[in-house]
Amino acid sequence: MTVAAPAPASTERALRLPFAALAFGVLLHADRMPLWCSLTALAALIWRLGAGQTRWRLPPIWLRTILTLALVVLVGSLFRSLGGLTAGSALLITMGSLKLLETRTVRDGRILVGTALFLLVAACLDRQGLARLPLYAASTVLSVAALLALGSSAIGASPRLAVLRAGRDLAFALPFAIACFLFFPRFAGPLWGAPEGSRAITGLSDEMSPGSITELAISDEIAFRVRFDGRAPSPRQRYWRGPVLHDFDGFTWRRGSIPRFQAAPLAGDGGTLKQDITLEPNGRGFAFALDTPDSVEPSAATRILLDTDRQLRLLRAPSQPVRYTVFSRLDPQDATALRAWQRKADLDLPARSNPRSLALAQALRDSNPRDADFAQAALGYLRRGDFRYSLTPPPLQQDSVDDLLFRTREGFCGHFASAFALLMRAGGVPARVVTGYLGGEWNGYGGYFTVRQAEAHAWTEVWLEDRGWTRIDPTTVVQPARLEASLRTLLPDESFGGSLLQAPWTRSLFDYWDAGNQWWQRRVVGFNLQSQRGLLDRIGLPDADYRLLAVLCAGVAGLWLSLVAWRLRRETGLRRDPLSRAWNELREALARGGVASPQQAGPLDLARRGAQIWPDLGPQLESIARDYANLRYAAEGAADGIDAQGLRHRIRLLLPRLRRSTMHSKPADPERATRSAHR
Amino acid sequence: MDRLAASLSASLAALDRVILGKPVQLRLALACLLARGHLLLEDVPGVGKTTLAQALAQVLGLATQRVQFTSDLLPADVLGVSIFDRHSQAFEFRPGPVFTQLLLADEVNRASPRTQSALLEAMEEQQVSLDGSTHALPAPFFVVATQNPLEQAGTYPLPESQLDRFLMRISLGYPAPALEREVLQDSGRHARTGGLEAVLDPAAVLALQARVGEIHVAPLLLDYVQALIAHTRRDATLQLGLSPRAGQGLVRAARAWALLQGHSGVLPEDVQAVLPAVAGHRLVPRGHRDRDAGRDVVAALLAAVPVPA
Repeated sequence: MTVAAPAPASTERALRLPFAALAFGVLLHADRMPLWCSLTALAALIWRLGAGQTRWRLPPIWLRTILTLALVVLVGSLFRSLGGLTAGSALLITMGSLKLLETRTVRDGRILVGTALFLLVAACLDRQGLARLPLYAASTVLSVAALLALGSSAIGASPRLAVLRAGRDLAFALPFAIACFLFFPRFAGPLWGAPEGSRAITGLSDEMSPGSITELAISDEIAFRVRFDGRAPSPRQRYWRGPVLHDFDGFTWRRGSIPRFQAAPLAGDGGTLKQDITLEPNGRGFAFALDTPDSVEPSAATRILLDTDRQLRLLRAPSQPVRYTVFSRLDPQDATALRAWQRKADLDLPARSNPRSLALAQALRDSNPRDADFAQAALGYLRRGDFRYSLTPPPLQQDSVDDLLFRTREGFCGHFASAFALLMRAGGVPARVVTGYLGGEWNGYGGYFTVRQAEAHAWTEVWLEDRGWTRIDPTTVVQPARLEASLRTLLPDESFGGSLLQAPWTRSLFDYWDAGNQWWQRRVVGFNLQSQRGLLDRIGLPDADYRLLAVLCAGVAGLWLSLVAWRLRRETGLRRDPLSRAWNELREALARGGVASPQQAGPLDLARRGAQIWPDLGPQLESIARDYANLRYAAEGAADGIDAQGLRHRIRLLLPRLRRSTMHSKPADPERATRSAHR
Repeated sequence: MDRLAASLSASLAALDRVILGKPVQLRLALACLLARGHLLLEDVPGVGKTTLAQALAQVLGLATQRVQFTSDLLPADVLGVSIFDRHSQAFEFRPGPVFTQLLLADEVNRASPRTQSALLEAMEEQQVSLDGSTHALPAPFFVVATQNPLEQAGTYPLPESQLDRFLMRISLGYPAPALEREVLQDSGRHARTGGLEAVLDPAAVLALQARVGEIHVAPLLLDYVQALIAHTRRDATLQLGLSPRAGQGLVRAARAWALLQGHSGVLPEDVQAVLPAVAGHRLVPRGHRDRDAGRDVVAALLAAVPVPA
C-alpha cells in the first residue's frame, strides 16, 4: 500500500514554522517538566517530520486515541491533577505533541501555533526574570512567523522571510503594547494566581543545627536586595534579621511554638531607616530587614507581619520576588517589659544536656551578679579560650555546646551563637538565637545592596533589664574580621573552586546585570495599580478612573492603528479613487460569500467565480466586471460609453443583495468555487 | 480586420481537433508565436511535442524544418555553410535548416553548448552571421525547442541565460484517460495532421503579430506587472527574480493572450494566464531544485500579489 504524504508540498513547507514554534514552546518548559514530557514532544516531532520527508506513516486514529488516553492518565497520575500550572503545561505539551501526529492542514497548523502561544503564556506565569525575556520574545516572533507562513504560501516557502515579517509586524505592534501596558485599567490584585509547586530553594530555615549554615556559605544565590531611603548603615551595622529561634534541645535550635503577636513599637533615639526590600522567593515566607525592624509599611500587594520577636513573616510563601518597605532602628530600646511567657520560653533549657557548659555558666554567673557583666564575662571566655573560626569544624556530639566549648573549640557563627545563648540561659538571662545575614554588597549601578545566601549569619540576643533585647554577636569575638567581610573572604580559596565572582571585571558585569534584572522586576513585572497611579500623577492625570483609562487606551490604539494602516497603504501603493473603493468593497463582499482570494483575481475571473456562488446575480456581476475591465484596462475608445459614477452606483446597489444572500443561504460550496477558479 | 480574427479562431479550432484536450497549451504556444517569442517544450517523449509543432506549422501555413539535436551536431549543421563554388569562383552560402519559418529543434539539450549557443544567437538576432556576411532569417521565424527533463546523462542542460531566450516554457503532460483512448484508436500522427489545411499564411501571421503590438496596456496593468516582478526580487526563497527583459516578455505574451481572448486591452487575467509559462523557467528557487519548484513559486507569487483596484 502506498502512503500519501501527510500534506501537499506547499502546506508541508508552511507547516515547518508551526512545528518550530511548538518545539520552542516545549523548550520553554523543558527544565521544569519531567524528561519524558519533552521526549514525547521530540518523538512526535521526529515522527511528523519523517512522515513529511520520507513518507513514514502517521499513526492511525485508534493508535492516536490510545496514546491520548494513556498520556492523559500518565499526566494525571504523576501530577495528581490535570489543572494547575505544571500539570496543565504538561498536559498541553503532550496533547500538542499528539496533535503533531495528525497535522495535515493549515488549520491544524494554526492549532499548533495556538498551543505554542498557550505554552508561552504558561511559561510567563511561571517565571518572569529578565533572563527569560529573550526566550519569550523569540517564542512570540516564532509563533507570529508561523501564523504568517500559514496565511500565505509565498511567505510559507521561506522561514527566513516569515521571521523577518513577523519581527517587523511585532515591531509595529510594540508601541501599542507598551501603551496598553502603561494605561490599560489595572486591578488591585493579580488577575489570577499561579498555583504553587514545591521547589527546593536555598535559604535559611526555621531551625539551626551545627552545620546548617555551612551549606549556605557556598551559595551565590541572592537572598534579597535593599534600597535605602536616605543614609545607609555602616558595614558593622548590616545585620539582616531573619528567623528568631527559641527552642533548644541541646543540639538544634528551633523556632518553637511561642505565641505570635504583632510587635510593639520600639523606642530609641537613633531615628528610623526606611528600606525598600525586594525578596527573592525562599519557599518559606521568611522576610528580612535591617536589625531591628520597628514597623512595616502597610501594602495591599504584600501582606507581611512583624511578630513579637521581630521576625518578619509573609502570610504565604511567594513564588515570585516580592517587595515591601520596613522601618528599622539601629539603636533600639524595647518600650515594653518582657512578658512572663516570653521570659519562660527564652530561659528554657533541655534537661540533662550539656552539663559542663551549665557548670561553666554557673561559675561565671556567681562572680557577675549584673546581667550585663555576666554577658561580658561569657564573651570574655570565648575571646580568651583559644577558639578558632572555621567553616569546616569537626562534627559535634549530642551535647553540642559541651563538645564545642571543651573539646573541638572550632566552629562558626551558628556554633558560637548557640553556645552563647545556652550560657546566658543557664545564667538566668533570657536569650534567643537570631538567624539572618551579615553584610551585603553595594551595587553602584542600581544604588542598592545585594545580600546573598553566602552571607548567612547567626547571632544572639539577650534581655537586659535597662534596655531590652540587646544584640550580642559572639562570632565577632572569635573572628572580628567577620564583621567587615563576607564569609567567603575568610575562607581558603579552594572552598569555592576559584569562583568567577572574585574577578573584579566579572563582579562589575554581574552588578550591571543584577541592576538590570532588579529594574525589570521592580518597574516592569512589579508594575501594578499603584505604579500606574504614580505614572498618571506624573503625567498630570491624577484622578483618572478606569473609564478615562479605557478611553485613553482606545485613543492610543486608534491613533496607532491608523498610523500603521496609513503606512501599509502607502507601501502597497493602492490608489483609492471612488471606483477603486467600490471595487474593493465588491471583492470583500465576494470574499465573505466564499470566493477564495478575490484580491488576487482579475475582474472577469472574479465575476465568473462570483456567479458560481450567486447564480441569480451572475449576469449583473459579469456586466459590472466587463465595464470595470473596459474602464480600467481597455484602450481609450473602448470605454467611451461607460460612466464611472454609474458603475460605482451599480456596484453599491449590488452589495446589499450579495450580503443578503450570504446571510440567508449558505454559499453553495466555496471549495468548488476555489477549485474551478484554479482550473 | 474581422477576417483576421475569424481565421485566428478557425486555426485554433483546427488545432484543437489535432491535439486533444490541451487547449491551454495550444493557446499558449500560439500566443508565444504571435508575441514573436520562442517556445521551449519540456516533456517526456511521446506526449505530442512534435505533433504540436507540426500542426502549428501546417495550420499557420509556415515552412517548417526539423533538426534532431545530438552531441556531435555542429553549428554549421544548423546554420549552414559557405562553400567555394568553382564555377563562380566565389563562396556560396548554403543555408542550413534554421532558414525556415518554424524550426523544430528536437532535444535541444543533447547538443554541445557551442551548437546550442549558435542556434540561440540566431533566435535572438533573427539573423545568421557567418564568415563576415549576414543572412537574415525569414519572417516570421519561430523556434520550438523540446527537451526531455528526465534524461540527464550526456546532456548539456541550458543555462539560465539561454533559457531566458525562450519566451515560454510549457509542458503538455499526459492526456486525460478518455482522450487517450481516442488517441489510441487513431493509427498515428499523420492520420490527424495529414488532414490539416492551412488556415493562415505567413502574411497573416505577420499581420497578427503586428496586431499584438496594438493591444492596449493600461497603467493599472503595468502597476500589476511591476508588483509581480518586484515581488520576485524581494522574495527570499528565490535566487533570482525576473529581469526587465522577462518583464517585457511577460507584457508581450499577455498582449498576445489578450488578442486570443478577444480583449481590447490586457487584463490581469491575461497576465495570470501566461505567467506560469513565461516565469516558470526564469525563476530559480533557492535550495532544492525539483522540476515543480518553478510552478509552485509562480502559484505562490500569484497568491501573494493583489490585483490593484
